[in-house]
Formats: sequence, C-alpha cells, structure tokens
Amino acid sequence: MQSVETHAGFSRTIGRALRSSPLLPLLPGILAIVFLFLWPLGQMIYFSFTDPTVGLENYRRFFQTPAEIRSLGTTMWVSFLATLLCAVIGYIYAYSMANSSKAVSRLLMGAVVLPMGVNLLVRTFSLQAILRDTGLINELLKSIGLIQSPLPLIRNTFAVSVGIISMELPFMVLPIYNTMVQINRKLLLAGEGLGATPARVFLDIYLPLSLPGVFAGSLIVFVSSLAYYVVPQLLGSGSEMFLSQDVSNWIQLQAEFGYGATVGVILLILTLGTLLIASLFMNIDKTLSETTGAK
Amino acid sequence: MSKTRSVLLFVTMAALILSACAPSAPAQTSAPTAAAGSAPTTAPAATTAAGSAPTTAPATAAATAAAAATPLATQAPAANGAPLAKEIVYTNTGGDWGTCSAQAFEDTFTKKYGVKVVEGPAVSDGQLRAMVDTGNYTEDVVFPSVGFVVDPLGAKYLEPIDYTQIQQSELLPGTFTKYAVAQDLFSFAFGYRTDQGPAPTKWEDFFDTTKFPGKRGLVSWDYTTVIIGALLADGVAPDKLLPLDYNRAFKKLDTIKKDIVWYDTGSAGQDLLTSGEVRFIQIYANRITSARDGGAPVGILWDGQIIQADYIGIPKGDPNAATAMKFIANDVSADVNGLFTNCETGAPSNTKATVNPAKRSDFPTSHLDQRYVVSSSPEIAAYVAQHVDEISNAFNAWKGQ
Repeated sequence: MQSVETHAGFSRTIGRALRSSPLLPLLPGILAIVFLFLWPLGQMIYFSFTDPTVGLENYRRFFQTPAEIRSLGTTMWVSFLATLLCAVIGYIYAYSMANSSKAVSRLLMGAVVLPMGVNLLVRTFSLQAILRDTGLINELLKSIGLIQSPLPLIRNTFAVSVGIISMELPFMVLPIYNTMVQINRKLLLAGEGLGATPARVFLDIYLPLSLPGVFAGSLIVFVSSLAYYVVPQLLGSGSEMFLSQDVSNWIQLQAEFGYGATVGVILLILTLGTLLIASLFMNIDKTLSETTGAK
Repeated sequence: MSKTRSVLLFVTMAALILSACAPSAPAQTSAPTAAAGSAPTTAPAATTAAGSAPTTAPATAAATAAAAATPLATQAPAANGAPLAKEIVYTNTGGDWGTCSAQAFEDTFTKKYGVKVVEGPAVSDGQLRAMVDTGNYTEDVVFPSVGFVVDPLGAKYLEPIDYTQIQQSELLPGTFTKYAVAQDLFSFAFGYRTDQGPAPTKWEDFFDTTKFPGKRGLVSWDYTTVIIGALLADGVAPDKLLPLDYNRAFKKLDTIKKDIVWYDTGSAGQDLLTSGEVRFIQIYANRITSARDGGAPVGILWDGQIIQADYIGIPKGDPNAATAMKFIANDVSADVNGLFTNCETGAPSNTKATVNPAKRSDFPTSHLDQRYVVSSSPEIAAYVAQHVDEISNAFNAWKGQ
C-alpha cells in the first residue's frame, strides 16, 4: 500500500516536471541525435579540414584528381540511370497494382515488399549468381543455343543499375501506388463521358495526377542510390568507383582518415544538394507525406 | 497509468543513450585487450571532442593505455626474465594458408613460451591506424602494407623491431625494416606457355615481340612491379632502380602495349596462362607452378623475379608488445621460419632456414643466383610511399592512353 502510494507520487512528480517544460520530453530524442548523429558527423567534417594539415588542402586535392571527378560522375550518372529505369518499371508495376482486383493487388504488394526483409548483402550475392558469366541467365541462353560466349552482364554499369533497381523498387512503387489509389475515379469517368479515348484519359488526367508520386519516389531512390556501397562493390567493375567505395578505400586501405572524410563530406553535400534543388521545384514535406501516407 | 509508462520509456531511453555513448570497452571480444579496454575511458578519441585537436591525442592516449594496462594484464610465468602476456592475438584469416601458419608459427611459439595465440581477422591499414589513435588494441601481431613499414608512417603506427632478439644477418637483405620483418616471401616471376613456340631464356624476352610474338599478361594494380619489370628489361641494374624512372619504363612498355592483357587477381591471371590466352605472364610464382602442376603446358623462368615480403609488425603502444616481439622473433628464427614451406608456397625470409626439399625449386629464394629485385625493401618501399600519388597517377594516365 505504502509503496504503491510512493510510486504514484513519484510518477506524479515526474509527470508534473514533464508538463512544466514542453522541451523536456524531447530530451531523449535530442540527446540521441546529438550523440549518435551530429557529434560523429561534426567530427568527420572537422577531420576533413584538419587531417593531415589544417585548411582546404583535402578539398583541393579531390577536385584536382581526375579519378575522383570520374568517381563523382559515375556516382551521379549511375544513380540517375537507375532512378530513371526504376521510375519506368515502378510506374508500370504500381499501375497494375492500383488497377487490378484486390487479390492480385495484394499479391503484387507482397512481391515488392517481402524482399525488403532479406538482407541487402544476400540479395546482392544472389544477383551475382544470376548475372555472372557462368550464372543462371548466361547458362540458360547458352544451353538453348542463343549465345556462344557469355553476355557481359556483371562487373559493369548495367549490373550496378540492376542491383540498385532491385533494391530500390519498393521505394518507387509504394509512393506511386499511394498516389494512384487516391486519384478520384470520377475524373476518369468524366473524361470518358466527354468522349476522350482511353489513351487521352490516361495522358491528360491519370498521368498528371500520379506524377507527384513519381517525383517523390524518384527523389527517395536517387538520394539513397548515391550512397550505395555493397552493390557497386560486388557487381561493379572496380574501375568505376562509387564515392562510397572511394571513402572506404581511403579510410580502410590507405588509412588517410582526413581525405576519406573529405570524400564523405562531398557525398553528403551531393545528397543535401539534391534535396535542396528538389525543394525549389516541389514542396518536399507535402509531397513525401502525401504520397507515402505519412502524416 | 500512461504517465507511468511514459516515465518508464524516458528512463529506458536515457539508459540506452548512456550505454550507447559510453566508450566501447565492453564490446571488446578478444581477451588480451580487455585489460587495455578499461583505459580508453580515461583518454582517447571518444572523449576528445570534435573541437579539440584529435590528431594530437593518439600518442598520449596510446601511452596512457599502455601504462594503465601493463600492471593489470594477467601475466604468465616469466620465460626468460621479462613477464609475458597470457595470450596474444595474431592475424590469421584461416584457410590452407591459415592452417599452415598455425602449425609453423603459432604452435612453435606456444610450445616454446607457453603463451596462447588467438587468431584474429585481417586488419587493414585503416584499422591499424584507428587502433593506435584510440588506444584500443584488438590484435598484437598484424600484417601492415608496405607503405606502413617505413618512415614516416612506420614510426607513427608500429613498434620498432627489437633486433637484439633477431639474427639480422641471417635475414635476406631487403626483407626487414625498422618496424617490420618478413614472415614469408612471395615473388612475381616469368611464366610462359611451352606449346606456343620456343621457351624464353631471359627476362628481356618478355618484351621481345619479334622473337616471341603473342599476348602478355601483366598485373593491373601493382604498378611498382610492372614498372620495375620494364626497367630491368630495359637494362637497369637491380641496385640502380632508384629514383624510379617511370617514364623510361612506360617507353619500354609501349613496345608491347598492344599485346598486354591486364589481370586483376592471381586466379584471373592463372586462368589466362592455363587457357593459353597469353603466351607470357608476369605473375605470382606459385600461380605459375600451380598451373604447371595442374597439367597445363607451362614453364617458369626466375630471371628478373620481383620478390615481395609479407611483413609482420606490432601496433605502436600495444600493451602486449614485448610478448608479440618474442612471437615475431620466433617467426623469423632459422629453425622456425622454414617450417612454413612444408605446407605453403611462401618462401622463408631467413636464409639459414631449411626449405621443404620436395618443393625446393618452386621457392623464389632457391633462385637468388639469378637476377632479382626485392621490391618491398625499405629503400624502394620508402621511395614509392613518398611518390605514391605521382607514380600511380602517371601509371593510370599511361595505361588509359
């Protein structure tokens, strides 16, 4: 009895303390962000300006090395390519999902979401087994006599794009699907009623209304593609490096922490820069929350 | 009720954050560093805020860690004066190679000193630097890359080798530095097909496309080996290689450029030779002998071979450094160093070591009467480390032309 009362009193005190300041309940979150995120990030940025010498030396070195610029270009180009293909495939997929029976729609949803539960590394190794010279596709084509020598399916930009698309497809499909199911069917009916062909209805009504989903998905896919490491490492050629591989090279193999941090900061700027530029053309908060269903 | 729950949530989260932010001591898995693990709470990078200069911290942090840990470490009975650690961690990534080094090096050491050897995963140069910078030692004997075994990096990240414990005169010149000793040696030799015309007789033949037409395999990433090989063929004496005249090497390489097939890994290179895709190849000697032993019509020429060292060293400030030094001394001693040749292709760095008689002619060190270069020698290693950007950029530019 006694202890219960004390307990209740204690919790009331805490409760009052929590109520008194609106910031207090935020404290754990703020602490987590500061210690687990901002502090290491700050340390990284600090390293990029101070190790081995204080100043902009690391950044000068980056922009004067052709290999690094090529790596920057590769990262952006392959991410862009993967995003574009992802958008096309994702749109078709989402369209089938949004315009089919509930059972089929659920099946398609499961097919796109379930692989997310499998570890990225495992999925990349599986892709390796499928794409390599002695892999599933090449062996199959060879056995039916379509090709003599294996198609170059692995260790090139193609393989990296396939890898990124297969990892990122859910993040493209879901926003598009979410936008599509919110489209008011009466608008389509009205278009048909006014004598428009199905193609016209799609191009003039359905497509424009579903575009916000495509933009949101593309933004998510592009930004996360920029930071891919495992996929280009296992499926790429090795001569075309993603920035993330470059970071790993400088930190792990060359032990040049400052320069590795610099490449990391540049990758970060690239990511934030993309978001910034995207925000000039669309309301990111609104687009993402509406299309992903998050409030 | 909901209030109680929010309080609980608050407390749990606070505890989680605190435990996450605490220095990593409890996460350490390997026993020998557990003692050192308590030290980091006092000094290293974790508490060095981003504002104060972390670059100045390492040396002092490492010293503190070492000083704090030594008296705490559980000590085995002294074998010969100095107290030894109970166990040390040695990089051994397993496989046939790992089993062989366990038999040759770990077992002999344990038998001699009663110190247990724990096998640890590969340590990259970056991890080695992080280990020394934070004073958090996870391994005691590591394999640093060539750039790390000479000044200036060697002085920063590796313990100097105690040559009072090692018979330096027995070691092959060029296979030991101030901070590391070669546990074993490997080499790039001249492999050729015996079924595509006459066999070459000297390294120069690699570049003679009129007498020996056909494709030539070269390693794509090891520019030091490729450049040195070209210079040797162009008439530079093995002891006159420095300063490395890479432009002269590229001129020599231009003469065979259209015939070069670049390979990335040893296995890819071996495939080129086994399949007959190339007539000549400069590749690891053991890859040539294993292609030959596999039945391919392949020969090996040792003239102009380029020997490299598998260096072992001790992270600077490691509390178990004294014991690790004994391990290294045991590794390269005359009676132990050759044991490795009984089960692997790595040649001994100790010239007095007994080599497996059955495989004698397959070891690079059995052919030192012919022309050779030790490219991991302190002189060449230091020169390359100093000019690494310049040389690698020039090589990549030439290769891409």
